Amino acid sequence: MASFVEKILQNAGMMEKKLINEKLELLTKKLTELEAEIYQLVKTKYISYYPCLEASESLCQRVQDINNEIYSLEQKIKQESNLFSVNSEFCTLNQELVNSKQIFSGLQYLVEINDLLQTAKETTSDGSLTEAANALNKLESYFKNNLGQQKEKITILKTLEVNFKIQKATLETVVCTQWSDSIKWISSSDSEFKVLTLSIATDRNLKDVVHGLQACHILERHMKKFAENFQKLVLPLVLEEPELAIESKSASSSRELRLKTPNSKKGSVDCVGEEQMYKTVFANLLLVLEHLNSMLLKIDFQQKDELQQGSGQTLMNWLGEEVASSFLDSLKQTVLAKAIPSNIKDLDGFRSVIDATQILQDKLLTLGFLQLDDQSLMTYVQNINMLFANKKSQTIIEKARDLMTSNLFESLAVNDTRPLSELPPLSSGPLKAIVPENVLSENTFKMPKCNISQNIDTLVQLAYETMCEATGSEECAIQMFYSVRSMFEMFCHVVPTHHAHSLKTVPQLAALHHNNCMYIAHHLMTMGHQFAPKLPRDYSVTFVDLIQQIRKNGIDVMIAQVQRQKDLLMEYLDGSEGFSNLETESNIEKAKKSVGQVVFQLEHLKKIWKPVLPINNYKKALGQLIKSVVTRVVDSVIALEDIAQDASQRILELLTSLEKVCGECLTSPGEVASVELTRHCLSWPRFTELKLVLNSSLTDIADRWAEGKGPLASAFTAMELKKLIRALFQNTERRGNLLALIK
Amino acid sequence: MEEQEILTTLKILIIGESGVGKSSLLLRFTEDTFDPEQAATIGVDFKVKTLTVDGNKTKLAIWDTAGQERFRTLTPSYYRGAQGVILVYDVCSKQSFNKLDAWLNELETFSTKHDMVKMLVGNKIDRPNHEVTKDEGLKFARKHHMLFIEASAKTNDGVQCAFEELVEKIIQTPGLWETSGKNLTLGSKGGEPGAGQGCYCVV
Repeated sequence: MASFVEKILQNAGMMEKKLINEKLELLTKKLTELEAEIYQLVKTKYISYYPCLEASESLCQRVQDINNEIYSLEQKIKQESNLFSVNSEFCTLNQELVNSKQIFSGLQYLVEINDLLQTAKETTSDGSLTEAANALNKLESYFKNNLGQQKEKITILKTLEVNFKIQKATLETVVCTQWSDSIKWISSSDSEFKVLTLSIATDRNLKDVVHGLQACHILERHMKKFAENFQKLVLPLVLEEPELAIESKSASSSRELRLKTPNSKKGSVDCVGEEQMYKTVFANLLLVLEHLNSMLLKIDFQQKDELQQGSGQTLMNWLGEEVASSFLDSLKQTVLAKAIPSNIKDLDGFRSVIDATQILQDKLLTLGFLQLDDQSLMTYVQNINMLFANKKSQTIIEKARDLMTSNLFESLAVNDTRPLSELPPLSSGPLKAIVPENVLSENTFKMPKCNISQNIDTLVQLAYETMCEATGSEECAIQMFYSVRSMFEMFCHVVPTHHAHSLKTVPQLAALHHNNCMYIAHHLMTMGHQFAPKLPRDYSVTFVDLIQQIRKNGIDVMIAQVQRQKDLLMEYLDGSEGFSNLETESNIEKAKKSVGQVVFQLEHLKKIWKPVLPINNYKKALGQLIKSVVTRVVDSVIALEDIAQDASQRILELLTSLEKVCGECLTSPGEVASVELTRHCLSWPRFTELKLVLNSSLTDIADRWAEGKGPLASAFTAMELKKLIRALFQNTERRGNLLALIK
Repeated sequence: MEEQEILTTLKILIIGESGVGKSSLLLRFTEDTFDPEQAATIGVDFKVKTLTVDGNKTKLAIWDTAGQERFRTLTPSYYRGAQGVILVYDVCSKQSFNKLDAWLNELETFSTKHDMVKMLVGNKIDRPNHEVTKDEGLKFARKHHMLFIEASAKTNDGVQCAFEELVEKIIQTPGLWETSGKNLTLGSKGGEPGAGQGCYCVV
């Protein structure tokens, strides 16, 4: 019985199997057909470019049917397999089914790709760019992930990919064209105005274009370009043109934003005052940004599905990110920097600038031009004291530098009739009168009369003004004090360097520079004490450490100049050839010429130095030069082996003319040449004694020598005098006697 | 005629306030002249004169210095090696007398011979209205170990005497001057010139 049932069941199983076999065969057949057909379809469509939408639709239907059949078959097979657990034949069948499914899914992809391509093409041409872009993006992901490996197997895929690329390129071209058609920068100018026009189309869906660009991942490129234009064309107008006119016009298919600037700048612009310019600039900036916002930039460039991550990014945000930081920098440097007062009195007026800046900052935040955390604008203006001090120091340093590097030749006299500019009193309290036992001369602490460069006078006045201003503001005081210090530190370096050549070659400038240095040092001596009581206590307000350096600089320059003049004079004296052989006419000429050159040079120096240098310095300098000349002349004459009587008269003439000029150089009205010469030129007695000897008898010489107790003895050594006597007098007994006396 | 050999050369300095008559004294002594319009000396003037005192012939190298501050030069150089100094004041000018201290101070500061002989001369006694009495002068001279005489360059009173006394004193001071030693005469061979001219010399 059991076997019977078994048999029946076996039979029934056989039957089922047979049926399944048949069905499978049929299915395989159908699939093969379908495959061929789809292939055909795709081939005709993409290779032959034959439109056959309907065919493909029916094909879809058929694919669907087959899909259903496969599904039911699969169910059955599953049931069967329950009954016949181990059956190799079934396994084979199952395998076949899996294969079929694979093929099918492959075919499904192809269909989908086809569909997407179709959509893309259609949407591109009818203008729904976003959809097109989305379709293409999806396609791209297919190509990347699922079918990448099977490209080799399914040849049609290559063709599809090529097609996809073409389609993508087409879409990009379309969106780009749309963008550039919609947004146009036009610069034009007529005789009166320069006009920058930004025209933005209103007849199409800009949002769609933007999203299309975004989906194609090329929005960034275009926004960059836009930001660049904004920065290059719009911002300079906003920042620098106070007369900018902003108009917004709607045309039939577009809106235009016009920025008009007059061609010729009116003089009145500057009169308005750079300090007030910030108002115009702020207003213009906001107006431009608001127009741009309503025309274009309010567009949210992220698509719905991305919205969750990025919270409503608009194009304005993007523009802000691109240009805000550099724009704010130039806003600070140009407009706000000008609004900073250059005078301490106007410091309070800056409050309104701060308020205006606050409003601007808020509006820029609302527009989305600035990021929430960007406070740099406010931080900048709120730091007003530092700004003011910085600006002030910059201004005075700049001014000082200009003064130092400009011409220093224009001079003015420092004397009692021209006292310094009004100075603030040293202290507010009553002065303690100290009456010294020995009253000093009123002139003790006075700067001696001399000339200084006009520009240096201005420089010192600038220093005083700045120090006065420093006492008026506690916050800026120290910085301003340090600016004044840097000003003088700069003097030490800039003047000797910038005027190096002139200081070296122009004696008058060297003298002026010497006086300038002394004048500055003279003032620096007291400047610190003068202002210290009114400046913050915890800083040592002093300039005295600079004095040494400045004085030394002046002295060094002057000494170098004197040395140069001395070299020159020595060079002239070289031409006299030691006053030798003055019996011959040619040598007389040489000696005359060389002394003439010396005389000329000394007179020249007198002319340019005497009115400029303090009289003591002048005499000292010229005394030095005269000493060099005189020493050289006397030494030359003493060195001569033989001096004929004629020659000694010639020498005497030369010495007399030299003496006259030297005396004139060193004397002022009421002064006696010989005294001044002896005072300022150590070797002068040697010169006068030589003159006496040249013109004296042996007896006179003996008297003047007076056993080494006369003036001759203090001017010459015994050796020198003996040599001179031998050169001047013939060898006689009397000469011998005299020589014997000189020991 | 055989000339007596010169014993030594002495360096004499004349100092004092401006206008007291230093140059006039020198001129009277060396050339026996007087110029009422004598110009101010500029720097230093120098004269040589031989003088025989007690039979000793000496050569005097006399340096006349400028009294006016503005005409003075290089002070130390002319003090160097001076053996005698004539310090002059004007008996008609208290101010010139009061300044003597300052002059002495300068002298001490720059002189190189500590035992140099100093002679105080009150000049212009020919004039009326003396402001400094002889006594005051004498006291001052004593106090500072100086010789003292009143004189007038104009009338040639005491001029010769002043120089002679000074030189005599110098020669009597050992170590102040050098000589070959041959011709030194001691004693008062030359008579009594001082008494003859009525001068008052005090040590």
